[in-house]
Amino acid sequence: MSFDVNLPLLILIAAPFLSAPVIYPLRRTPLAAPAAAAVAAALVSFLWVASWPPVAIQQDQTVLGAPLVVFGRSLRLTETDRWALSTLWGCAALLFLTAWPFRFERRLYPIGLAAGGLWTIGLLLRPITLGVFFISSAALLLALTILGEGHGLEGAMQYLIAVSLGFLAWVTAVWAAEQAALNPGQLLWMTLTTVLIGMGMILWLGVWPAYRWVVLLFAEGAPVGAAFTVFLLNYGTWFWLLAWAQEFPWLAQLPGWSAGLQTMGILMTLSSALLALAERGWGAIGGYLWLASGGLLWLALGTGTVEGIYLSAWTMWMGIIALAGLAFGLAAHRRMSGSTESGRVPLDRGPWVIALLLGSGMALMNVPPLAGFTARWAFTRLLLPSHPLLALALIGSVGLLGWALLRELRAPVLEATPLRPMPRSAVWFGIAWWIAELGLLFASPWLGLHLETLAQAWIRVL
Amino acid sequence: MIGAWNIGELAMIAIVALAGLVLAVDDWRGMLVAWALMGTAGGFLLEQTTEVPRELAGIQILNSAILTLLLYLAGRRAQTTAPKTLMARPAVHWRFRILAAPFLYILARTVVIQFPLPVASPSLLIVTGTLIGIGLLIATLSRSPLKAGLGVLTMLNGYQVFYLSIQDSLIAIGLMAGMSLMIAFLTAALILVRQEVSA
Repeated sequence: MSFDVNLPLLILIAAPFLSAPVIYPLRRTPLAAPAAAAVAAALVSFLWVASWPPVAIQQDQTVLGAPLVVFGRSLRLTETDRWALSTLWGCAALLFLTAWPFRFERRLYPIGLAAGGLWTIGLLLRPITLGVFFISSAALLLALTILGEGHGLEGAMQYLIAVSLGFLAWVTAVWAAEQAALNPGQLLWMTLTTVLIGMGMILWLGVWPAYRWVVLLFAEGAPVGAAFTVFLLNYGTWFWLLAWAQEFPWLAQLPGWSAGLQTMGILMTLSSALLALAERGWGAIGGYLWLASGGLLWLALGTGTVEGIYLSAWTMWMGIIALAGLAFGLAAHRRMSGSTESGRVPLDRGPWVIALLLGSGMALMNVPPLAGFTARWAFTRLLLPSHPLLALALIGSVGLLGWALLRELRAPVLEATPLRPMPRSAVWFGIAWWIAELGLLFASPWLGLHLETLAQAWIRVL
Repeated sequence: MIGAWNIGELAMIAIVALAGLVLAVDDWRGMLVAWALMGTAGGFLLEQTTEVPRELAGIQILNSAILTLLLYLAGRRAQTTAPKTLMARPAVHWRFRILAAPFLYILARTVVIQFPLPVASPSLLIVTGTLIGIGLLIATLSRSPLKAGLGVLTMLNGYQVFYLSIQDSLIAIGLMAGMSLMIAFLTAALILVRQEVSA
């Protein structure tokens, strides 16, 4: 390590790993969730409160504070990284609090912190060659958060297989990208890199046909752990891909880049809408709703236009509130009935739980009056002139998902199911969630201002 | 006298046969023994090639031994309380599974001969392709966490054979071995969680 140590950066990297062993023994107590959330929130505050003097490392590149050099590799924080880490840790804090009332989510707190720490290192490490190991370790570690009390094993096994295969794709992509840099102009290496990145993303994001694990996670796993897993893989990959595009500028210039992202987005959205019709159960439908919502994020990014990139970042920020609502609703449903299957919790026995599931489902579909509708409306208007059929298909996918959600609501109640009473936390969380979701509509213009840095980072590389 | 080429070829066949055994055998201890021997044969194959330093081939063998020990300890603990969790048989009959191994070997061999990559020797690429294919089959067909984990580790083992021949950075090689260890730990955790549930 060099002697000119950037102490704030060292604290930022070390804090999650130092706090995870402290929170681990507390995981069965009610203290674990607020403690983990406090650490995550403190990291966000630290990113903005600590002094990060700008340092020019290249003619056109400025970093916040001197890079930290470890074994010849540098860890450095840029303005974009600051926004990326704020988004990741902010969302993590929200999900830790969401898991608070549920005992079967106890593995989430220490593992979530450690996984977040590993992902942080992966994002900040340059060159990104070794970053892939830290990012993949984080993704693998999350397999444990999916396990509840006697459920979630099948999903965890499928997740482990998908993430391991994805890791092989990513690590080979790194090697192919290095070969492309060593042999400039050779199309083989460039194409190989793009194809492997595509394979890695298909496996990690749950794009059809590798989607099954996402559905199993929500249907059988610990719901907030599942939400944390898909959130970190989706949002983390959004930022990780930006790091790739910055490191290898030729990547985003390849003709297959935009087309690949768009195809993935379309596949995620349309296949989820169709497959949701063949599935029963709040958990499984929730998984498809998340996939469809994620598809919009990648489709918007793949357009490569300034508006599309803004909308992608906007959808990302909006999505986390909806995901937290879905995770809480599913966890409360599981606590009441022992599963997330259809017809287990009637409306009169768990009104706030059903309201949360319905509301978060609508929010993930981006329908009015919920905040995500602003992004969907703008995106539909953006697509209509150039791709009218696609725009109509996307509107149709919302209809199909809505149908699946409505069918779940009207599913006949199984009389023989023994039920535990609705958790009291469902009432206050439900009220807070609906206020937050509707409040987002009014906060939209203010929040939109802060997307500038994230969107500009993408615009520069495309 | 068997020439160097033949020894390499024999090592390849041994690796494929042992991976086929991991795929076909349902007894958990038998699977682990076959897997450990497969890792050792992989290390032996690496020793025969000129692309990989001998020390790294030794590390590959050591890595396999450590992972096997870890999984054996987890399996033994699970066996004392819930032995049925280790015996979950795949839905596909063992005859099909044992046939899949030579089929995947021939497939990998054909692909490598048709589309040679200048960066690594054909024997290493064939072993990598075969082990990734067999590992994927083990992982997707199995119902027990131990076998699924061994499938993932077989894929990773196959990939490592290729990775060691192209990677110069010792940190990257160390991190790759660390990833195997992490997957083995996760497998052990899944076995023990399943044991908790069954108990």
